[in-house]
Amino acid sequence: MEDDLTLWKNIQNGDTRALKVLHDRYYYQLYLYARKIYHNENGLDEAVADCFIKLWTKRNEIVIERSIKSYLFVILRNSLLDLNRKKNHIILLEVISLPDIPDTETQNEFDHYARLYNALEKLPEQRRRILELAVFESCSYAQVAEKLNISINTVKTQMGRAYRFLKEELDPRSINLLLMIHSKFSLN
Amino acid sequence: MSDNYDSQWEKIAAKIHGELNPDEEAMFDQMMTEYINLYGFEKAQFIHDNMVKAGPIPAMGRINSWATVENQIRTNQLKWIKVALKYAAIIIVAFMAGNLLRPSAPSVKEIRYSEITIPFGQMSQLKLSDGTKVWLNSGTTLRYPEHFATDQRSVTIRGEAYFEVAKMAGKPFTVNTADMKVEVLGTSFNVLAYKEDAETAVTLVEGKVVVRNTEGKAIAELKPGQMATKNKTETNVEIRNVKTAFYAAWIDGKLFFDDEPLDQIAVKLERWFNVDIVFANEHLKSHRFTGTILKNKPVDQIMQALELLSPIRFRHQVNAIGRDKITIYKKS
Repeated sequence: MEDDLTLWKNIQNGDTRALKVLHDRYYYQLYLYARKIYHNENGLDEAVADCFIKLWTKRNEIVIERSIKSYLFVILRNSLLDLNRKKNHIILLEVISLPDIPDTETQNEFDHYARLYNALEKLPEQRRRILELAVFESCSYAQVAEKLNISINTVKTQMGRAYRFLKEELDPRSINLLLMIHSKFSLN
Repeated sequence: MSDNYDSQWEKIAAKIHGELNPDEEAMFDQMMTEYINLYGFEKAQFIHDNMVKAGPIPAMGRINSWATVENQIRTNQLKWIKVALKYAAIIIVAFMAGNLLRPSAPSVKEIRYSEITIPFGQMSQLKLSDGTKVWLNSGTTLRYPEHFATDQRSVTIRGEAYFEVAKMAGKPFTVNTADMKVEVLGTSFNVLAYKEDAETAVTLVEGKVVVRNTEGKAIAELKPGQMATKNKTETNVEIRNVKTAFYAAWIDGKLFFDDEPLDQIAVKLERWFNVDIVFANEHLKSHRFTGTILKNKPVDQIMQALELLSPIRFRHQVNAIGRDKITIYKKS
């Protein structure tokens, strides 16, 4: 896996594939940061896409001081402020209360949730749809079955597989550790 | 354990979502006596709780976002080709135009104009034939053509209006007032030009405008966030950077004041609420106020607020012909 600096060098050389890797790596964190400022969904996807367009357009003019990641957040924040001015004609946002720009070193809530979304994206479509209905919309298994026109049994099976996958995706190392402890304890 | 993996995870999922029947609950409790299952359950519960906290994200969000980025990059790369083609097209059209000239839009003499006047105490909004939106403040008259001419769009106002002009390349939009012409290239701005006032003011929210004197000579060019004011007795224009929100908020029924003297505030209130305001003491006119007024409140409530903030009292009377009059006098 390429690190940010290598990606940036490639981007500066005109490599759009590297831009895509960077985009996919930080999309969720940026989206969540924007949503934290705005609390409503309109225009957020535009704002994040806009960040990367700006980065690409000015790739030979920009000098990165801290980190690419911090820089993306700075562009995003400034974009959002501009968007607000243009669309509403009235400045609604109090600049003092913006959430902090995340640092590369410290793990923060955006990284945490981003990992979760990345994992969710890997679920096969129907399984993901079922899980989202049950979790985000608090649907019962019966309601999910009805909405998607499938059997309750299918919902049951898919939910089990969804959680199993997510757990293994987000917490893989401990399985082996636990199996060792488990087998140690059962040798009696 | 591995044979029953599926079945155990199904129970874990069902437990999190409250879908276990009593028999299954008993089996689940039995399952939880093994640490590895308990651990799995707790992790799954943690994942569930975090999903709830994180909230849903639009499906295809990341994919669509990248598609937008990629598309824009490609578009920019093709732009230079388009520009070259465009100039080629213009040359061809100009060559042919001589032979094809046939005016379809009305000539200046044939244009029919409409006039609309908003009474005091009211506000209105309309859309012109090119899609331009206009908000008209109390006591404002707008004169506009039913269909615009071929090469330009021209309206006249007396009063205050906020324009969101539809972009039309090659067809500038001009707002004429008694003391200046405001020429625009597709954008949002506010014009303040009441007959009784000595000053005309143009505030630009977005886009670009050129301010011309009545002879048509350009006297200023504005960028967004700038306001141009001209006194009718003078030839020059003063340009300031302003908070455009202040000057455009009336279209949302709000008026902002920033350290403004009471006599100027009174003029605005007279127009908005269709009342006459009279000062019993001259020196009360210079009291200054900062704040927001909501238009949908009764004028008395606003006067009461002003009473709290300064040594004034007011009296609201209605005369014989039904005209509202407010007298401001000194608190004793």
